[in-house]
Amino acid sequence: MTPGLQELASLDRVIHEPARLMIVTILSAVPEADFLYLQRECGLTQGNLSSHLAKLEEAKYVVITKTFKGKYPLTICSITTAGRRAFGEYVRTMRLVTHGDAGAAKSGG
Amino acid sequence: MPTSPLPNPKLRALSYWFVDGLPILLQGALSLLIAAEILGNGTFTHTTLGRAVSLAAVILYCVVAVRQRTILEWLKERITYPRTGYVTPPFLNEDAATALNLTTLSLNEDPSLAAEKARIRRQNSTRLWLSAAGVLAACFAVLLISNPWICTAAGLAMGLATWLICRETRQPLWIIIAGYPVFGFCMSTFLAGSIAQHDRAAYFVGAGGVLFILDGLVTLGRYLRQNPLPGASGQ
Repeated sequence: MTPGLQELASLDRVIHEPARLMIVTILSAVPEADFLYLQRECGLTQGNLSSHLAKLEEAKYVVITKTFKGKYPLTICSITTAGRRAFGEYVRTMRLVTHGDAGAAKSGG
Repeated sequence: MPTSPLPNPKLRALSYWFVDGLPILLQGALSLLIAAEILGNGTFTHTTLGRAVSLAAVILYCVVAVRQRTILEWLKERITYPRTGYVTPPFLNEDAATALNLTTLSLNEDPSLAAEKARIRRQNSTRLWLSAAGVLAACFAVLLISNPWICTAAGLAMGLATWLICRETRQPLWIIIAGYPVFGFCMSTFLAGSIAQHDRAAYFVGAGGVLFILDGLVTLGRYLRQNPLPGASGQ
């Protein structure tokens, strides 16, 4: 195995799962989003999204808070610093392996 | 699934703010208030009613313009969030130019993407300046040039400016983009002779307000039809 490819073994498996990768990609781009928005954007069922969010919360990559906007109850999700760092690292590794990208190696997420 | 075809989550969140047509409706209302103020201050300034309308329009405009965000949030809490959810618009935490970038945070240091980012920023800035210049030129032209066909030219300029402004942030406002040139042509053909030159700008702003409201209503109607309130949605 080439040294570059071995980097793939170090990929964060919490983020690597496609549904969780979608969630983290959205949350890394916005300050916060609610459950319904994430569900629609990712095209996941309620149960599926709930379980993936629970895994991300368990890894301390996402914070979930229950609140109200007027009378409407919201389940607000936002990415933590650790989540942002892990996502940056994941993207860096993927770029490094797939493109041999020197820029990605330098940036370090 | 979402209606926006934009691939970037930041751009999608930005366009989500406009998905229900409410911001456009409010902009239309504000434009109508400006038109009422200009008309009240121009042709009808000598009448008590004209002065009253003008004063009321100014007060109402100030209230709505200052409380714009609160009004929109209030409406969205009742219409949008229960249907399609809530996301903080990216422009509330950063400047709009940054929100329009096609890169994500983790890729910011990549040299090739940094160049792409700079190119997009330059493009956005040029587009906004061109649009502003078009709108200003159209307003001054209808005020200063008496030739009736200037209204058609101004309508075309306003339509083009609207297209330039909205083409990357949301669905194009076709009613406004097509409506301005049509209104300009109608004004040149039927109204130019009967309207005082200093009132032309007010008519243009007022027509813009009506077009914005129409577009907002069409967008809102489509949004409500496509997104009925979910029944008992436990999370």
